[in-house]
Amino acid sequence: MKLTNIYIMLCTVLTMGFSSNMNDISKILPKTINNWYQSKEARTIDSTNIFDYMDGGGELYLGYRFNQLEVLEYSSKDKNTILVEIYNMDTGNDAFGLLSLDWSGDPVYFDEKVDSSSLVAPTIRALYGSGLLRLVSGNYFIRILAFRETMDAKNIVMQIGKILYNDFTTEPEIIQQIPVLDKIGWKLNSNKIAFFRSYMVFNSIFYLSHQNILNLDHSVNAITVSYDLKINGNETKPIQLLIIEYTSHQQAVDALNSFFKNFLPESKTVVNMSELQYSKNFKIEDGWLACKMKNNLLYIAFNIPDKTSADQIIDHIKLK
Amino acid sequence: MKQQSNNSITRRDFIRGSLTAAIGASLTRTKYIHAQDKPALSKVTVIRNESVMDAELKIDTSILKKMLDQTILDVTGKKSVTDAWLSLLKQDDIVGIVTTPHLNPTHDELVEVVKTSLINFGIAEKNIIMAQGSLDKPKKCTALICMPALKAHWLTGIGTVIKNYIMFSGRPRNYHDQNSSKLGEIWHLPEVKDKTKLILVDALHPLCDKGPQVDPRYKWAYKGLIAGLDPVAVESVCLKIISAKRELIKGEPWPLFPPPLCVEAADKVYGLGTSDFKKIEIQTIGWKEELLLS
Repeated sequence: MKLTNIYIMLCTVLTMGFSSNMNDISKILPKTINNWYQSKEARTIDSTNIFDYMDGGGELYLGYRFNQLEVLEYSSKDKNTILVEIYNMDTGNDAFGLLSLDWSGDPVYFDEKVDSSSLVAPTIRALYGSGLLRLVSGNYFIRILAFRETMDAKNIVMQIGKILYNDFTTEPEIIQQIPVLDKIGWKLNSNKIAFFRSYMVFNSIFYLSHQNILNLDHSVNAITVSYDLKINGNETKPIQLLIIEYTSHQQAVDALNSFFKNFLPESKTVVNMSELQYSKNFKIEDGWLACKMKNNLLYIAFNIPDKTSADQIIDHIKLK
Repeated sequence: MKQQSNNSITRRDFIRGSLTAAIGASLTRTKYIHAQDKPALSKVTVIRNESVMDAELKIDTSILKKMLDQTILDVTGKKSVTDAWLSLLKQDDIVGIVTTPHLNPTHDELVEVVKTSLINFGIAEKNIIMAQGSLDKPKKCTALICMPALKAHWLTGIGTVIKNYIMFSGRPRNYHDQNSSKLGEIWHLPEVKDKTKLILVDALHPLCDKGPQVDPRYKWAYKGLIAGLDPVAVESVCLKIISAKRELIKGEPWPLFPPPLCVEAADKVYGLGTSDFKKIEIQTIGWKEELLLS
């Protein structure tokens, strides 16, 4: 297929927007691109067969609000393969969450139109490295992987990415709740902002417990972020902040009590439903831990070096 | 929503170094199994050859064959390949080769080299079975060679040796997350127990991040084989290599989360071998650059 045809198809897609029907998005990809051709029929995978496709890795996608996945392959005459995986997620936040698990890689710029100056998290939505392009386009999280990275394969990966990319650069609203701690010396590391809904996903970033002690599920919005502090030019252990938005105050209280019971059993702390706001610091093995709750929002900061810092952090968490 | 139960393993157990006790408490109905003939020292052989793969990761099978020969000679302490196999297998054994099919699959070239070596030793070709999958497969076998590829895993921390038999359980999802500490029990299924004669890990091109799908930035050409008779010792050495590579890539601590409970549990609860480096002798042969074992 000629590039002009690809361009026409691209324009068509941008005009019609992305449909929730997965077949539409696969159809916008040409059967051939330069010397590469679609070598297999597109496969659709959903929650019933995702484990057949990717073994236990399916738990990651099911930890987000996952609709379905479409898989295509392109092959070249020299027996190289490019795998295209298009994950149709229920919301743009979920697609963002999947990308946010790893912000490393070379930024790729396709067609950014949206003003992203107010965003807190990295604004890039396409990242490349060693043959793999990961990108977010609206509700879609997309992986395009060249099995052997060559100049030719990279060129095709980028062409496919450009066809599938549409600039919907937004970020989950909960990110606006991230406190600024610069005044007390802690600098936000925006490259470590991750959005999730599942305790398994959180565990893969920052291990808390092998069980769901914070009652996370698809109904919550959660982020984690780290802050770095330099003392006399030396970096201390980063603080890890967790922010969870529950659907109700009752759920936030239940989760906090579950956390106390399982993570801090010796404290015998219990929060009552009548307490709309709550904050407390705890000394544990590797430093201090700070908890703050207001209505349906819960903050927990780990790895705080001392009580003074814990007090300061609680003071600087301003619920927006 | 999955709710927590009473025996939660948490970060604090990890910080306190009390994971073993926590795992034990979480497995209250599990009978501790103590190995009968646990050796005082478990040997793990790490052999590497810089030329076994070229820049495009194409494998030189003649070099791979030599690496395999050296590996089994070193593991068994025998002087010939035939004697080495003879110390592990009988010629009338039905040998199951258990490879890794997903994420970072065992190289076909390694499987072929092993098969050829077994045939040369005297095992009939029809008696060599690709045994990954349902329990029917190891059931048919009188001996197993555990041949995973070296990789981290999203749900279990490491997904190499102990996890390699997960499909034999028939319910792999039951061994995710905290239940990954129970992976060792699969090695005690009657169809599996005592059949594993060699652990041979494909460390030619490992994966040090957890996935769940391959990100090629976290694969590297280690160009090695890691082998031994003690699955837990081999897994512990694998874990050490992966952990060291992760720190090297990031230039800062990059712990493997969730912590790989299955390794310690395989030692302390299921008696499959040792995870204690004081009881592991690592023998390194060949290419030493970025060995990741210091």
